[in-house]
Amino acid sequence: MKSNAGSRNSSIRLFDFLTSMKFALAIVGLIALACAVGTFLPQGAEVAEYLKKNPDAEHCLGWFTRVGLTDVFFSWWFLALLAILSGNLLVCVSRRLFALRRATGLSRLRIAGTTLVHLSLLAIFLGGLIRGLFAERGFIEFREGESTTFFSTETGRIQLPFTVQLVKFAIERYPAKDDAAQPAKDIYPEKLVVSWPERKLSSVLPVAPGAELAVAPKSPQGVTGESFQIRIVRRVPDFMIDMTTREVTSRSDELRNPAILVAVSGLGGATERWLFARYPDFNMPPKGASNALAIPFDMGYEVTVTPGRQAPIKSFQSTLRILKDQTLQCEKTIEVNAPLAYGGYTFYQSGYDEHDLTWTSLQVVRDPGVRVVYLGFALMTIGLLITTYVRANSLGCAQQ
Amino acid sequence: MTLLFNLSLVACLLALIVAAVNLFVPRRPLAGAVTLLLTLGVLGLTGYLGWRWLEAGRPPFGNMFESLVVLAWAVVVVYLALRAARRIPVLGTATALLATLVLAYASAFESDIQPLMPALRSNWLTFHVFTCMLGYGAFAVSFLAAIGHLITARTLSRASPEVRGAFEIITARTISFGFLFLSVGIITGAVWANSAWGTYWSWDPKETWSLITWLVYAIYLHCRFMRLWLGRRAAWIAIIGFICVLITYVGVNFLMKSVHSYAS
Repeated sequence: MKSNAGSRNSSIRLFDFLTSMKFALAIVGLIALACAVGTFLPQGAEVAEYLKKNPDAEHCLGWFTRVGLTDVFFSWWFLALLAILSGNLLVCVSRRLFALRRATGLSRLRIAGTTLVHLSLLAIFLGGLIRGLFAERGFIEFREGESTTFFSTETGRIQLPFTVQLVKFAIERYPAKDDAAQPAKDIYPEKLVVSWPERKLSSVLPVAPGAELAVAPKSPQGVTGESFQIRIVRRVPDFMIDMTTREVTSRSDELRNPAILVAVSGLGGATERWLFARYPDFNMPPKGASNALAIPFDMGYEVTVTPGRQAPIKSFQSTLRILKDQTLQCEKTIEVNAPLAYGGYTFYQSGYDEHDLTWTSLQVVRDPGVRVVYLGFALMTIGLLITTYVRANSLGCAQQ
Repeated sequence: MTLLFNLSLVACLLALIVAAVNLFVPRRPLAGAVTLLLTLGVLGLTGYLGWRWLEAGRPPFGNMFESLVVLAWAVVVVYLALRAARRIPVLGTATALLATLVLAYASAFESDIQPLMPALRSNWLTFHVFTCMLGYGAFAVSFLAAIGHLITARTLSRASPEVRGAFEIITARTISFGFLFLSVGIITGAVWANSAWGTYWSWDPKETWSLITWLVYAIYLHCRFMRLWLGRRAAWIAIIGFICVLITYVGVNFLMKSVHSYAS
């Protein structure tokens, strides 16, 4: 009997400890510390990018990854800390509700306020849990006139119970600046940059079909060595290749995927290369090119921007139609801060291509937890207004 | 209208000089002049912000310069609103110093009125930035009071328990006030993010550090009002809280990649 009573007492003591304020504050402190770590260490997809720039950090980051420090906010131990805090808050709210029945006056108001604040945290956690379990998130990319019945996610596609059609995409700008020194519109100067660090050579050739550049560096001893001739054979603003015939064409006149074909000749032979402005680390030989010549220097195709008088963008808008069984359900022009909500899904204006103003990208979200989170926000605001009012009064009394 | 900004800066600087002189004069006869100069400074800043609002046709919360002016305004407003603070001349000096430093720092940023980028064109901008800045202003005064509390606890332990007590009350009151506004600032930011980007929380460094700040001040309020930790320990938590405010407000802009990068 004594042993049973002792074990019951220790269970009660353990329960009291786990539901105590001191324990809750320790958990809150740990959560704050974990959050700080999560902002200093690269997280999730950032890790690969960080390792690319700092390959020496692989061993160290590997260790951090094993203990979940490179995915802090979705690690099991961080979620466990939130779960423990939720349990503690649940008991805290229950105790406060009992205390509320006995309290009177300012004390009753204080308890009501703090209860609402603690309850609001539970609502926010619940909303977050619903989001984690049931939310769908993805994107749609299409051009004016196109329709879709699905959206893409990181792992695949999700079918929509209706059709979304992009009727029109438009960009609105602020009034233009009155500066005659600047060009009317943005211009994109293109250049071929040749660098040969061992020979301390660096040259720039403005891009134009037929433009030529002679590369004749001197050796470290000051003697002119091997020389090369570079010629720009072709320029394609929007590179596209047929994978069977390997014929290159331009998809449009816009600078969406600019590429140049460069011919290099020297004493050792000749070769040709496609260079890409958007993919500086990648180049490819054209159909039937000779690879007789090894190029000892680096070549880069760069497209920069000289901003024009054109004013900054004020807003970008997509006019969307929702169709169900070929019947128009609704039409709305969306922009950033003004999404379209229909059938549990919300469509957000996400991106556009300045070189192709018929194209737009939308973010699609279905999150049934948002309303619960907003309820939490409302409870927290009311609760904090009450507690701040009560504290101001009680502190005022204490001061007097 | 830059003149109004400069005059406000001069008013805060004069308040600092007068408050510093006042500290060395028996019976502190210049306390009223300090309050008057700070009031003039805050009125000047109110006028300057109002002019920018009219001129730009949008709230003056679009970049770092504007938010720093709002912060200086909030620091002085919170100080002036605290009747108890006026009984502690050194807090007036510290507030004038802080406001002057914030305005001088603001001068280092581009002050031209720039059009808002699409993501910032929302009514939530006003609520979000204003509530956050008012919260930060309150936390700044709480930080000054917590420092005052620690100094008096160490050097004037027997001489002025009343001053120490006043410092402690000011710290608690301003943190209580700032916590309400920081919470509303985080909430309005979350609602705005959900309407702009489809997510109310994305663990962005600015969001995360505002949460850390909120958690630290939540610990302070529990310790202070549930009488777990009082006095110097509570003052230290208030100081840690303000360090978190500085990281949230300034540090993240310069140290981390954030969706709030337009604020830098």
